[in-house]
Amino acid sequence: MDQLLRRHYDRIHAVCRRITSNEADAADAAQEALIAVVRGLHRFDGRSAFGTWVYRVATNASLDELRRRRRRPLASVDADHRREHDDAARPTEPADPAAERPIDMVAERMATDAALAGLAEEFRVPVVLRDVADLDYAEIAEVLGIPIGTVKSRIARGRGMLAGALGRHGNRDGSPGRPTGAS
Amino acid sequence: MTDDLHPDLELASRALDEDTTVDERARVQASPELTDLVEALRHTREAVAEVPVPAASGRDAAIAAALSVFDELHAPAATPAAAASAGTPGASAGRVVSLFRRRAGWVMATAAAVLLVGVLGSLALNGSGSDDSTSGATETDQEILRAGADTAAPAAEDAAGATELTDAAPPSTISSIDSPAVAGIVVNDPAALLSLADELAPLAMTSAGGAETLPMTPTPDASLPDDGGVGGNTAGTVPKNRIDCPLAPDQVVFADILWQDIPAVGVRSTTTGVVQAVSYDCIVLVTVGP
Repeated sequence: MDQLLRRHYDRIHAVCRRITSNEADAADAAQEALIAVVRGLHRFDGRSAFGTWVYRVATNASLDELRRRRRRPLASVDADHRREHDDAARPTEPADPAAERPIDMVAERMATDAALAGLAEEFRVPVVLRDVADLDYAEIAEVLGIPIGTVKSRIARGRGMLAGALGRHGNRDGSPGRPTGAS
Repeated sequence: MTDDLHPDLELASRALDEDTTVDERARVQASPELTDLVEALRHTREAVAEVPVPAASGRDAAIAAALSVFDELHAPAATPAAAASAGTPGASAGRVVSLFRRRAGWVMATAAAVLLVGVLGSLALNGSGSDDSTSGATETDQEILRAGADTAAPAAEDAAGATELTDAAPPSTISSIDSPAVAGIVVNDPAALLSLADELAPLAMTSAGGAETLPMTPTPDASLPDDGGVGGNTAGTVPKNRIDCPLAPDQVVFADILWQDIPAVGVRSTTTGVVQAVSYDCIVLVTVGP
């Protein structure tokens, strides 16, 4: 079991990190996801791939964490975000090897975090499941319980808005896009 | 809010995911604007996919918490009742089989019997020899005999026993099961599990005595394709004596497997043909009809 959890932790964390958009919530959500996997293992019926099932659990844990976050005072969310970015920029912090990269890399990561955070949940989650978890459209449809056509559309729109927010042209006129507001 | 998005955004996005028809692909390739859009989305995807590595301390803490929950949930699973409540196949039959311990006992008994016969034969043949040679042989043989008797005794007591395998066990058969690292056959889909059962369960059935004598973990066959089905890759290892589950009288274990990354055994009912993957903690991971 230890081996199984270790094998999947990093990608579970990655999904949680991208859905929640901050490290503290991601760590909590990833831990909740692992516990949910352990508790729900006997309900895994083998109809889907184990990875797909795990990402569904991770997605639900992340969304639960976001709901809890919304109930917290806004100031604490801002503080979390600031603390996280401060940590990422601190050169002596050993947790993240990327923190030692040039400052523009950190800036790009912060921009990506901000762009994702600004994306509505309905677009962010399918994009994360596609681009981070590497699930295919059918698997994402299964995880989210929505039609495949909707998955394709939401991923396209989500990517387009992200590209716009990151200064890459995803819009009709090539200008930066307008995220649809925080979830 | 999203009306100003590019009209061909979905096409570009699907092109990035290689989910386009031939015509659509040709259209994207023929349009510099669409090609640029695909590249922009590709860079965006790379940025999203580059996730900060989690801190090791957070990983360890999360795994420890989950394992703690796992231990709480499964500590009583060794009892038939607890295993039954977890949905173990054939729980109603109430037959608790320490499958691999039984296998170990069977091997030990066989090995000890062979050893004893050999030693006794040797003693009989040497019985007419000189005193010197006899005494020398006898001394050595008696040591072997004592070792054999020591080994045979607990094995003969049965099986349930927690006897460890020794080098005396036949290396190509059951011994591999209780060796410290055992390969499981990677099985990722129900059809592959059925196919594996069709292939191996008859072999298991021809071993007289049913489950206790089924014991062979087939050597992974490198010639089989590693396509997510019954493959030859040997990912993962399994612990010793790791299954202690109630089985119905008609259920036989036909292989050690890795069912979608979970170490398990393949079990088939000889009456209904139903095949299941059962994890080491007696959880039915999948049930497949005949």
